[in-house]
Formats: sequence, structure tokens, C-alpha cells
Amino acid sequence: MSLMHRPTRRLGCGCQWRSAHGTRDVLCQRAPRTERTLPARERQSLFSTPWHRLAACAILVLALTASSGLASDGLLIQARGVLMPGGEIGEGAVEIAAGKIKQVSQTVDSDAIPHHRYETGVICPGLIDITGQLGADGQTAERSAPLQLGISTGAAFDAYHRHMALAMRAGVTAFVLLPNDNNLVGGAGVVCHTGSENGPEVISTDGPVKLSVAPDAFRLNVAPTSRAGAIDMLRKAFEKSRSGDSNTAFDRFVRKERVGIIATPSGADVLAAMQLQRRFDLPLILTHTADALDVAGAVAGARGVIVGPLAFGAPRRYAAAAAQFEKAEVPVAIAGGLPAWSADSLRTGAAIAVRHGMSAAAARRAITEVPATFAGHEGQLGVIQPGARADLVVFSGDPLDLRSRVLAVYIDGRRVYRAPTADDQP
Amino acid sequence: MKKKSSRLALVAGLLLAGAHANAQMRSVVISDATVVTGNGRVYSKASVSYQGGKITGLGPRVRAGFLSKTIDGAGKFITPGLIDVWSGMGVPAIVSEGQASGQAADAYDAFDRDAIEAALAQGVTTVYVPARAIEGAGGLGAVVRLVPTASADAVIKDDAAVCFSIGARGERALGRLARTAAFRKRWQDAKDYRTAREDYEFELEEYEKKLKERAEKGESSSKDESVKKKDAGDKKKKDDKPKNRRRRRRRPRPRPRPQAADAVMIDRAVSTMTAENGENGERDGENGADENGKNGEKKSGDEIKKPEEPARDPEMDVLLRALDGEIPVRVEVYQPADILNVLEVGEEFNLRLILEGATGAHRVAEPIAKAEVPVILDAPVGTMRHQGDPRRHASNAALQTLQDAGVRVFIASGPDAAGSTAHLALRVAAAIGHGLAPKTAVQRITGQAAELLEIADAGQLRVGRSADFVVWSADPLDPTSRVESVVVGGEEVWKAPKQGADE
Repeated sequence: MSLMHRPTRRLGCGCQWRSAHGTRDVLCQRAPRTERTLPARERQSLFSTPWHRLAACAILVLALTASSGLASDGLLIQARGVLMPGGEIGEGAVEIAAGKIKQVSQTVDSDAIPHHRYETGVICPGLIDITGQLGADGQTAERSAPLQLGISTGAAFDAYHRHMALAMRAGVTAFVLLPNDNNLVGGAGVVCHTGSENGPEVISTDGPVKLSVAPDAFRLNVAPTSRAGAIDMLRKAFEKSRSGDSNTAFDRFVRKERVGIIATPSGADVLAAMQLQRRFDLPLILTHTADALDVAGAVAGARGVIVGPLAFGAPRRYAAAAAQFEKAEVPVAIAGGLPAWSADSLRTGAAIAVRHGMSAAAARRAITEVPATFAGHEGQLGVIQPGARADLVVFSGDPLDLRSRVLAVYIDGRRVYRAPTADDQP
Repeated sequence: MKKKSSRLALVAGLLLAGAHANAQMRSVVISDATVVTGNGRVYSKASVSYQGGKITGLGPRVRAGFLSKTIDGAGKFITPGLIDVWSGMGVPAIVSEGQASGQAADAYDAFDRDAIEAALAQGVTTVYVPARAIEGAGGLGAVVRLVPTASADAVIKDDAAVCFSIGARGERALGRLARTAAFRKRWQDAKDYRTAREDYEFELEEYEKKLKERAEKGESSSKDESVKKKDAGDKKKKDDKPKNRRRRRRRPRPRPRPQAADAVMIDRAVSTMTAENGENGERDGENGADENGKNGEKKSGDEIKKPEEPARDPEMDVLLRALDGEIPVRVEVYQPADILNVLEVGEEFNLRLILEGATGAHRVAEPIAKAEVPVILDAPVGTMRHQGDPRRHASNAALQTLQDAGVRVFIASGPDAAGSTAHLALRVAAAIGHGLAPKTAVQRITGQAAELLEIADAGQLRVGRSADFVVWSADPLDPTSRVESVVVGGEEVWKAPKQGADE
């Protein structure tokens, strides 16, 4: 099944996103994705006759079986510690089969299957940036209308962008490409991998819907020009969606089929958003940092809160936000804000949050498990448990400890990066 | 039993006596903790004792004395107060050019209690604040001790370094050429200024000698006497000036670099042009010491003329102190080409350089190492987006490269993000993640940082020194660690709020 799927995905990926790459972005270097990805013209000539097609398919199948051997036959990753689903670091080894985590075991017969061993490492789920803009920096800020009900950020995704590899080497394996804060309704986000066997790719198109009551969403002389106007427009949009029969991403959010992430930079924005949430019973996640000390008690009905990004210059009030929401028993994710923020910002933010009172376990979950849940991939991403995708990062220690380095990165069970200094065997 | 009762009596007596005495005088021992001394030594399961504001014992074998208060420090870490060697705390402004005599100490806001407590809460007790300029000389940087209550004692040092910025804020056309020339000219001007002053002082002495000779011959009138007295008074005032300035009198002016000499020639040509109206104007005295001297000699044939004093320039006086090696010269410079130019000028004028920012330093690591110039590396760039000049060369690999080349690299918060002083320990942890040697990392924000700032009584835990330290719940570089207490001079200046209280 997976073998049949792979070529289609690869070819589809190569063409679909290339058209989206129409921007003249100097940052973007069109790096070759893999040696095996052929230009479209050559591919055509290969498949020109039925016999050729058959032979090509056979070769392709053989090649894939050989190259993805480790992934399909199983691989054992051993290290000093494993980040467990609760956020604590335990002992064990992770066994991978067919790109998924097969089991986490205490004792392993390491000779039975191929293994990668990291003496000092800690195996952690790949970090997830819930507010990423990687490869689409500035490309999701549509300004034509404040309500972009049907837009999907997938069209802005640029698999060739150099930021992907930078983020991946810092341990970020997935991100939600979310629309910007500058529309009341920005459309739907997509969930992406920063790398894979075939390079960065979109892994699901049904990401969260983005809403915003941030000042960025206000216009100069067109509605909305204020928070009052914004809330009013949103209310009308919710009511219209309830009464109509359209089926945009936004409508599915209103029908509680997917979550919405709403940008609420000030405490007053949070209170206004929570009023909407109560009135329409919406599955809402708030992004809020600044006034957490004041409004943490008011977000109990929300699905969760996204805090950050936080850098070393974060004032105490911001740095204490995550701990405050944790105390209010709301699920907290810490945002990375890539690429506007540095590739390390997820871990930096988590470390700062811990310094200011967040528990270590919650902070580890805030950059792995919680954003995966917010993105609609609960149990699939951001967690090391049987059945989850094998997106793993081996750090040289606790991922929260900023002294730790990335030793290796696995995406879908395949090692896509290995640090030059990694002290592993084979 | 008898012994015990006598001891009790003694205790009672001491307590009564102690009611008047300073509460601090009682010895305090923190036992069973990990003690990081700041000079590279780490004792596990050790104790620190202090009394009367001084550290009285340190190490694994400290005995709790009679009547001393013992605090269980199991699992805790004790470190010197952390030192941020390049901070923006309390001094947010960047001045316009050419204010070498301005002082960051005057700009420091000791009443910014929020920021000060935020830093103390993360174990930072001392910061260096620069006086930054857009370009060129900014002023004198200050070393400040963080105390929660505003006080004048906060400033430990108001002349910690002369601050320069070279190409730190964007690029102008042919900017590098101009700014390097301007930087060199500053120091050349300072030298010329000194020569002019020295010439003047020499001539003044000659003049006085001649007056004296004349007086001895009996030719002097009563009027001259009074003049002489007045001059002698002037002279006495000048003697109060630092001695080293006089020592250098009449030294031949070194001009090793032809370009430099050219610059001076041009400058002099300009100054003579402007001074044409008044032959012995102030500018002439300042820049054209030779001509001034000649004039003086020529006229001294028959009639004794008092030499004219060149105008005082407080800015030049500051630069002269740097030329004499009294204070270091800190240059905020980012681009490799600029760094090389700064190093060259530094060598030419024998300056004690410290490079700040220096995000391009790893490209010229060898020359920096050779010149033995310490580097305070800017915080890593906070974005993945492309950086234009001047931070174009910023790289996480810089730390490793510089260290491998043998450059002394310091980690600081950097003045661009004022709030980041508080997270100095985490910054150092991140620096270790990017290649800073863990063994030296803590020293670079304690003992070696104090050496860099030339502040004697900070950065190290040592018997006999002031009892300044921080008690952490765990390794300070670990994010789960919390500061429990900050002690300065044996007194707790900051204490962690009780569990459950809001920050």
C-alpha cells in the first residue's frame, strides 16, 4: 500500500508546489530535492511506451524497496532517554516500522533489527511549530477582504525554501502553515513536514482555521476599523455560516469539525474572543502572551492557548504567561514563529517558560504533543507512542536544556539529518 | 550538666549583647551545596560561611561555628552574582556622534526597579552599560551593581571604558573608508592635543624660568612680580594633574603611517586656513603646536611673552586616558572588514581593545586571536530571515570558530534587547549548545567577566571577599533552576517569592 502511494505522492509533490514557487524571493535557493527526482520532461520520455512504463515501474518499485528498506523492515533507535507521552523523560528504545512507531520498549534485542545507537541522547518527538510560516514568509497575508473563508495556505507552501532545512536541523519536523493575523478570518492552515524522503511536503490540508482580532486585522477606512467592528463582523459571519449550507473550512470550523486559532494580542481581545466562543460554542484556541497574568482565569472554555514566541528579551510578564495558563489548567502550546524568529525559538521559549514557573513536563509537551493536538493530529504527531508517525529528534540531553544539541532527525522513520558530531554507532 | 548550664548562660549573655550588635555579625553557614567559585573551581557537597559581610569559609571542610546559623543547602548551587558585560539595562538611548566625555552612569536609571528585580530574580547582580553612539565615539561606559532600592552607590565605575561604534548601524556609501579614517583621526587628534599641551607646559616653564632670571637680575618691576605670582598659581593648579602626562613631555611625535600623517596634514591645512584671521587663535594652539612654539621662541628675544594656553577639551582628556592604557576602548563593530581596520588602529595607537557585537568576528578569528583582543559576542540573531549589513555574517557557528582560534569570547545580553539581561544564564546555556566550552562558560559571566570589567570585589567566591552570591535551586544553566536568594555584602537583597504568589 505504502509502496503504491509513494511514487504518486512524489510526482504530485514535485509538480504541484513548483507552480506556487512563482515568487522572486532572493532567499529561496532551489535546492535539488533528491537525486532521484527527475525533471518532468525526462519523466515523460520514460513513460512514453507501455513497455517502458512497465520497466520503469518495476525499477521504481525495486529502487524504493531497497532505499526504504530500513523504514519498512524496522529500525531500532536506542538512546539514554525517551520523552514519554506525559512529558517526562524515561528509559527505553524506540522501534520503528513502515514510517511509524511500532513500540517503545524497555529491553530490546538489538541484534534482531538494524539499530541506531546514541549513547548520550534523548529521543524526543519532532518539535512542532504551531504558528509557522516556513517557506511562505509574507505569502499568507492576503489583504483583499477581511473574511477569507475558503483560502488554504497550501498554495503558498514553498518546498524549496532553505528555511526548511534550517528548521529541520534545529529539531523542528513539522509546522502548521497558518495565515497571518491581518484578516478577521484568514482561511485554513495546512500541516507540513520540514523534510522527508522527498523533501518538505504538506502532510494534511485540513489544518486549523485562522481568525484574528489583532490590530493588524483593522483597516484604515474599510470595516473592520476597530475591535467592536471586528467582533460584530465575526458574529455575523458565524450566524451566516450557521444559516447557510456552504462548506468552506470556516464553515467546518463553525460546525466544530475543526479548530480555529484566533489571534488575541491584548487581554481585552481575549475577553472578546471568549464571549464569542461562549455564544457560538466554538472550538477555539487563543494566541495570547501579554496579559496572561490578568486573563488566564477567563480562558477556561477554550480548547487551548498558544503562547509566544519568547526570546531572551521577553519581559517577565510575557515569560510568566505559559505558567499562568498551565495553572489555569488550559492546554498550552509554545509558538516558534518561524522563520520570523530563530530556528531555536521553540526550545528557547520553552526554557524561558520553565524559568518563569512552567513545569518541565508541560513545557516539553508545549512544543510537541500540544501543538500536534491543536493541528488536529492527536496521537499521530508530537508524541512517541505506538502508531504515531516516526518523526523523532535525538537531542544530546533534555530538549529543554539549551545546552543540548540536535544529534539526529528522523522524519517518517527515515534519518534525514545527522549532526557531524553525533556520537552514534552505524 | 554544669558545662551545659554555663554555656546557656553564655548564650544568654551573648544574646543580650547581641541585641545591640549588628545582626549580621552572626556567622551563617550554608552547607552541603554545590559551590561554583567563579574562577573555575566547583566544589560539590561543600559549604560557604560568612560573617560581617565577608566570606569566612569556603569548601568541603567548613565547620559551622558556635552560635552560627546553619542553612541546609542540599541540592542547591551557590555561585557569584552573574555579571552581564554588555547590557542595555537602564540606558536605552543611543547618542549622536562625538561625545567621548558623556557618561553612561549619568544616563543609568537606578529607579527602574522592575527591570532590576527581574535581573536579580535571575541571578544577575552586576551589569556593564555602554554609552553608545550612532557612529564614532559614544562616551564612557559604566559598571552598575543592581540593587532593588535606588541609590547613588549603584554605580561602581563610571569610566569602565570608552565606547565607539564603527559601522554598527547600517551602511553609507564609502562608509567604511570614512569611518576608519575618522576613527584613526580621533586618536591622532588626541595625540596632537597632548603634544600641544605638553609644548605649552614646557614653554610655560621656560617662560617662568626667564621671568625668574630677570627677577634675579633685578630688572623686574613690581608689576612683573605680580604676574609671576599669578602664573605660579596657575602652574600649581596644573601640577595637580596626573603625573604621567608630564612624564611624556617632548617625546618625538610618532608618525608610523603615511596615511595618518596625511590626514593630519590636511587637517592642519584646514585649521590654518580657518585660523588665518587670528594668528594665535585657540585652534592654532590645539592643532598646530609647532608653529605656536616657534612664534613663542621668536618673540621671546627681547620681550618675554606668556605662552597661550591651548583650549581644554574634555573629550580629548578622555581619549588620552585610553591612549595611556588607563581605560579600555570598547568598539561595537560587526563586519569583518571593519574589525580588521579597528584592530589595525588599535595596534597603531596601542589601545586596549574590546570588541562588542562582532557577529563577523569568526571570519577574522586569527587576527583577533593574535591581537589578544577579547570579543563580546552579540546575542544570536533572533530570526531566520536574511540579515543585511552590519549583521550579515551572524552565525551560530561563530562561537566555535572563535574559540578554536583561541579568542576569548564573552557572552552578554547585548544592549539591543534590554530585557534580556535577566536571561543571561539561559543565554550562556544556549551558547554552550552552540559550542562554547562548558568549563569556561560560567567563568565568562563571573570571574573572567569581573576581570574584563576590572572590578575587584566581584565575580568570585573567595575567603575574605565580600559575601556576594546567589543561591540557586539547581544548576544555574538548567532551565528548571530558580534563584532562591541573592546576597550582597552578607545581606539578602532579593528573595524568591513564596510558592503560589504571582510574580
